Amino acid sequence: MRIRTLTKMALLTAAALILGYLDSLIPLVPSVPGIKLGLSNLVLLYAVFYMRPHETVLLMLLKVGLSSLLFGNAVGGLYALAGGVLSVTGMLLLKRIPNVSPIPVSTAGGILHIVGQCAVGCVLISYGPVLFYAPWLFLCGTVTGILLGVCARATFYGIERYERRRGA
Amino acid sequence: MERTTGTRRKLNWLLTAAAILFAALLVVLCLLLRPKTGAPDRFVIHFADGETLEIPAWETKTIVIRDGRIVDSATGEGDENVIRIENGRAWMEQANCPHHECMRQGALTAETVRSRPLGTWIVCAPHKVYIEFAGGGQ
Repeated sequence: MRIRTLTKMALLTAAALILGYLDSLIPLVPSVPGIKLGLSNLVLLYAVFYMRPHETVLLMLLKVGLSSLLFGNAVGGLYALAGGVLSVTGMLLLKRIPNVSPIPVSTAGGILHIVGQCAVGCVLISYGPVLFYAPWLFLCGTVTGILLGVCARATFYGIERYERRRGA
Repeated sequence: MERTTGTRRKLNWLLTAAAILFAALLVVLCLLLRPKTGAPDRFVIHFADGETLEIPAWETKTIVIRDGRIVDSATGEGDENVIRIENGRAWMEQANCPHHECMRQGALTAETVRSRPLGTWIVCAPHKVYIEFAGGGQ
């Protein structure tokens, strides 16, 4: 891995961890556990659009591993890993469509993240609470996915404009 | 061939709509598959190893669970949850899980099961301890 890529990965991992921690401090619906804004997915979205697929997967694994080590536990890490693997796979596949914008990619990522978490929930708990819980998660995952996609589109537009100006 | 802005916009709208539709279908599926219960009359505590403990809803009891086993008193060590059952209500009184989300889920009562987001359940996912308000229909 080149030094430039390594530095970028380190910076993005740190950003994802900080955003993930901020996320845990903002309970969207206090009575429903696990409903978050998913701010750290902005970093993953950046990786999906501007880095290689294997670097994106590595970033997701680093984010999941370190955040469960620092702020969570092994069970929480399992949920995050399943959600992360499914959402990154889906986002990378959607990114292959030419000229796709971050909004559908982020929306699909948010929904697939919940699908992964619900699958782990069905295995670890039982389908009973998951069936009650999942509709809230899907609703939240879709809304936050769209919002993050809009934020990412604005951010990427700014980055591309900056790069163009720097290159000119 | 480069796509025009209009086609590109349409494609992105279609993809977003497809994702939303997929989520909506999953929500409908969850709502259809939800188990139908009779009038809830007992609390069932599910432990990490799959064992369960049934307690009639009218009993008054405090249950301390540490590392998946019932113990006499809370010490704050290990994976600990304190469940209180009183007059047809059950709630997670204390837990030393990372974010205490189970304590914020409120009480399970015959009145609240319809309005609670988690329905008939209180879930402590990190400690794998769950309380279910079960009815005669199950």
